[in-house]
Amino acid sequence: KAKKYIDDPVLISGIGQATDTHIVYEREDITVLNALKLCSKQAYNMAHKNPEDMDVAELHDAFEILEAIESEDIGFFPKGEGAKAAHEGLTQIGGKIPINPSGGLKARGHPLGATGVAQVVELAWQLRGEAGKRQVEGAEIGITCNFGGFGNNIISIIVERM
Amino acid sequence: MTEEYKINWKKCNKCGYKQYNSHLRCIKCKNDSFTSLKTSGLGKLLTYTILKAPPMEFRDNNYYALGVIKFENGVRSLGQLTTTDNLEVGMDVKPIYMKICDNLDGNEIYGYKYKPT
Repeated sequence: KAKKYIDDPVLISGIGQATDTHIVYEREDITVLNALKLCSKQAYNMAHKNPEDMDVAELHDAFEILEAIESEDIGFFPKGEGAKAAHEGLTQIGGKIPINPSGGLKARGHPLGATGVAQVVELAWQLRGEAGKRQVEGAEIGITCNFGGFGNNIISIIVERM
Repeated sequence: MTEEYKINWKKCNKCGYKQYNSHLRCIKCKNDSFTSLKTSGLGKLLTYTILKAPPMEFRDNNYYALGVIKFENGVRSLGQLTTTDNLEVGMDVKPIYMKICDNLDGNEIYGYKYKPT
């Protein structure tokens, strides 16, 4: 039906949302974003997909540590190996799972509420092959991670080609 | 005023979880009755960062260290450290009651900073 309105529609096939305490030092483990574990699982379940199925991801890297931790808790890498994976190039375009080909939050100035929209727009461009020089070749499905606060409210959205 | 004066925590009467004094309900089980706990306040530095763009109240220091302290009873807290030099994750720290800043209304604010021992 969407093809009536646009030639190349993309589908939001999964979405999840979860909360955690805002107080980082009172979390069970300060290096775990439990809300992301919960909400990405909801999104994967709704889309009937696994982390290994993702071709591209837009993560909430408001600070360097967040991309490293999110890449673990969203299911791409084992705990403690997110930063190593980035150093080894597994998260660059052409790597195992390209993360933030858009440049991420700092590259777009992190306009708070608009950041989450921009992440989904980036995935839509990537899936349609409209991302230009930062195109992830053949990307068919991707996931976002967007925060309110510092991991106390996290939303994950899965977008795929129809 | 002794250094231990205000270091109080409370223990949930239902599940036993130890937590910060300011919580009205247990952060684990939501119960609202507690027993007060007193400890020495000695702890270990769990992690730290050097803040180089401080909030307005703290701009008389160019930069300072902010750490997460894990106290000997397991409760964790966030606080300024008294120094930015020779900090190491896992080192022992103790709380010192001292002036933290002049707030934006010009009042002196006192509280705890944590000093490596």
